[in-house]
This record gives sequence, structure tokens and C-alpha cells, in this order.
Amino acid sequence: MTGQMTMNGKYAISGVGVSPRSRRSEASLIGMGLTAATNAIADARLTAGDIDFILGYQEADSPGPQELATYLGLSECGFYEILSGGTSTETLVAGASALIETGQAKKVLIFRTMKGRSGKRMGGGAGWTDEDWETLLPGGEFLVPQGIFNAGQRVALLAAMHLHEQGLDESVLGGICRTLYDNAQRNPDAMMHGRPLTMDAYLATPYVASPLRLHDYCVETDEANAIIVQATDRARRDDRPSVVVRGVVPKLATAPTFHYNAPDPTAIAGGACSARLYESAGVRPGDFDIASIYDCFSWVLLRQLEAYGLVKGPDLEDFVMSGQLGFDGALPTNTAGGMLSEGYTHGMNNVIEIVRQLRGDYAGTWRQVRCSLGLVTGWAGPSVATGMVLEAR
Amino acid sequence: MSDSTTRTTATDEILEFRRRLAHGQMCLQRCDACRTEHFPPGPACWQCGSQELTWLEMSDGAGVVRSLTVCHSSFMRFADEVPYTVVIGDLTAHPGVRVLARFDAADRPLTIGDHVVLDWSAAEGEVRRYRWRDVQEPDKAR
Repeated sequence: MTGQMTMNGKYAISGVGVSPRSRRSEASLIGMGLTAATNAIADARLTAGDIDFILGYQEADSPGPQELATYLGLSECGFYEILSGGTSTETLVAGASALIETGQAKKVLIFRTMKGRSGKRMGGGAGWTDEDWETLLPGGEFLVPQGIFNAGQRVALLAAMHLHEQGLDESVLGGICRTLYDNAQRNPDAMMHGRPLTMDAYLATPYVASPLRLHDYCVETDEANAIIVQATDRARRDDRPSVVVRGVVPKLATAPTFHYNAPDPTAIAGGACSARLYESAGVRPGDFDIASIYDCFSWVLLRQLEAYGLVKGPDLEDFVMSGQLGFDGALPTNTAGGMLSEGYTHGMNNVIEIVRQLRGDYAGTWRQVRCSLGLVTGWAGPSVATGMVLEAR
Repeated sequence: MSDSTTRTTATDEILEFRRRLAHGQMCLQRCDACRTEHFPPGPACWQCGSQELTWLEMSDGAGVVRSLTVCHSSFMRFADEVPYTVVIGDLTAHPGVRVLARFDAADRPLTIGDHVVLDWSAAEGEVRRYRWRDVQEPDKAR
């Protein structure tokens, strides 16, 4: 337990921006990124010239921050990027805060651009070979030759184990999908807008890797997202609250990294991560009005509900099946539909949605949740987690 | 990925594991300091940090299904093999040690808790070939 990292709202997410979302973008990767960045800069009421540092993440599938800086017209700009998917956004928010705290940057833009559907598809292996997968995955030598490599196959083995050990029926996964698809019906920009999901339709869909069916997988998209981090006092606006970072835990790894040989393989890093997060932010899990929970797969969301202390194990099935993740539930979660039904940028789209909710951007419409404190989680496999507490002030 | 000119997976431990498997030995590692048994093999004990590890031949392949998935869709060369079943099994003789491997098709649906046996007899001369088999199924592979 470190506990000494007290953010206490010194830094804020002052702007968010997106590109159009589709299954096949006509724009280039850098063009999409530029659209998202320009929109985030305008949303923060800044001009491009204010940005002095750019952070990015990618999986060897996109241009980097230096190219974006060029097309934003910045003659000089600090940058770095990480080779990473889920958990990247929170990790880079922590990085941006550290850069500002140490005087190396003032206004940091974080972006992700990907053609996750028409280009390199994560679910399809992004064109990687056996050897690439064996290099990428911890213990890959002992997974890949057996036919286990992509995320769905790896998650399926954990999901089957967890459902069995907790005595949960696999329809609980359908319950998560149904609620998130319901949430997407309020978001015209969601891929699954206009396509609600019934439990019968869920159960009638064949397995991809049992116990996971098609709807348990996130919806791959072409899109770019951007957010801006700066000091809270410089980001204050009269017409809306600031969304401040009350606490953040960047990538936390729990051993062993080849997870199926952990003493309890169903335990996930989110447990240790949330303990650190809640202590540093001074919050309890019952305090949240809204959540953004990483949902590359329905089971990943389910498992985090318990690991982050949001729902007790025996209550999981009732909580999910009674729609508590929906707009009228106890913890509205991934209210834009999440990666399961809105779109997929390895997590940043879920962060953008919770920022908009906390600011009250949807006030007066059926999309608005009354909220002031939100939880963000990240997942990069069972043994890597992030967390962030955002507050409207 | 970005740079696959050097395979980070081809560690000394993996080469040694393969060499032993090619000679018919399915091996794990035991930590000399804390006695924890490890699979897959690695450069150090992740429980206590000791780098003193000793190779240990698995005493037998008896195991129990801890988890399984049936892959109905896959990629690369595995696309032609669907549907295939992969099992994570707890080794009975080595508590805490699990092996993930393909399960060769049985006549009955396999479930968590079923008894299975890890068979590495077909590994000789053809590294990395080990499979879970149904204990109720006569051994037809040899």
C-alpha cells in the first residue's frame, strides 16, 4: 500500500473530443485523431497552441503523438506514447498529472485513434502471427500452441471458472449485455443504437468461445478519442463544473502475470487496485453515483463489480439481472452503452462519457444521470488494473 | 508487434523445457528456497524471488478440470481446427500447479471437476505436444 499519492482534485479533465464513429472510416488514422483532438481543444476552450504535451497509446496500429503535433501546427511539443490497450487512459492521466506537477507541461492532450474494425482488428489478432502472440503474451509459449491467444479465448477460460465457482448461471452475462444495450438506446452515436437486445436473442446466439457469445464481446469500431488534462484552477468555467481527478492508480500488476497459475485464478488485480484507489481518494465504494467499468467483455465488467467492492459476490446475479447498471439502477454504468454496444477505443470512450455526465452535458434530456462522483476502472488482463475517481466540483 | 527480431519467449528455461520434453520428460520447476512448484517455467520463483530452481519431472499426469472453453471460432492455423476444447487442469500430484492444454475430443461433454490425464507420450521428437485426455477414454493415440 502506498497511499501517499493524494491527487485531491489538483488536476482536471477539462475537455473531451471524439471523431465520427463507424465500422469503416473514410478518414485517415491521423485525420480521425486530428478531429478528436481539435474537438477536445475546443471543448476545453483552448486553442491548439496551448497544448504543450501529447500522450498517446496504441497497439502498433496507429500514428503517434509527434505526427498529431505536426498537424495541430505545434512547432515544438513534448510527447510520449505507450504500447498498450486497456488501462492506458487512466495511466496517461496519472502521467499527465505528474508532468504538470513537475513543471514539464501545462496542458496535456491524451489521444487514441484506431481503425479497430476496418483496419487492425484486436479480436482478429490485428494480423499478428503465432510468434507475435507468443512474444506478446506472458507465458505465451504455453498458451499459443494450444490455440489460446486472443483476448476472448483467454477471458473465456476465466469466465467459465468464475461462473462455476460462484454458482452463477451464464445468463448473468446476458443480463450485463442487455442492460448496456438498453443504455445505448439513449445514445444516437452508439453502434447498437436502435438495436436493443433481449435475453432470448442473447441465448439464441451461438458461442464464440464458451461461455462467451457474440454479444459478450465489445463492438469493434473505427474512431478517435481525445481528452485534455490541466491544472484545475486554470480549467474553471462559470457555466459548468470542473471534472477533477480525485485519485488515480496507474497500471498495477499483481503476480503472477501468467494468471491461470495464480493460487486463486479468479482473483483479479482490480482488488488491490481499488484498495489503493479508495484510500488515496478518500472514498468508499458505496459513494459512487455513476461508473465507467472496463467492458471489453461482459464477464470482465461482471468480475470487476465484485473486485472493486461495488457489489458483494452473493448479490451479483440479482444486481445485474434487476438492471442496476442501467439509468434507473443503483449504479448507472457505461451509460453511453460501453464498449459492448457504443464503440471501442480501449477505454477512452467510456471515460469521455463519464466526464460528460459529471459536467451535466445532457441536462434536461433522458441521457442525464444525476451524479457528482464517478468511478473509472481499467483492465489489461486479469493481473493488470487501473482506477480513477472523478468528481464534479 | 513492434519488433519481433528477437523472441523474448525463447528464454533459456523454455529451451530447456523443450529439450526435456523432446526426451519424453514433462517438467516443472521447484524453488530450492521455498519449495514452491512452478509451471510454466521461468527465471525465478515468483513467490519468494529466489533464482535457484530445480527441474522436476512430473510424477504423473492425473488431473482435474479447473476450467475449459470450447473455441468455435479462431484465427491463424487454428481456424481450421474449430471447434476445439482447451482445458486448464489442476495436477493431482503437484498441488497448486496447473497446465493449460488442448483436450482431445471425448464421447461425452466435459465439465469442470471431471478427471483427466495429461499425456505427453506423443511429444518425443515433436516438441510441445502434450494433451489432456479423458480418463474414461481408452488410449488410442499411441
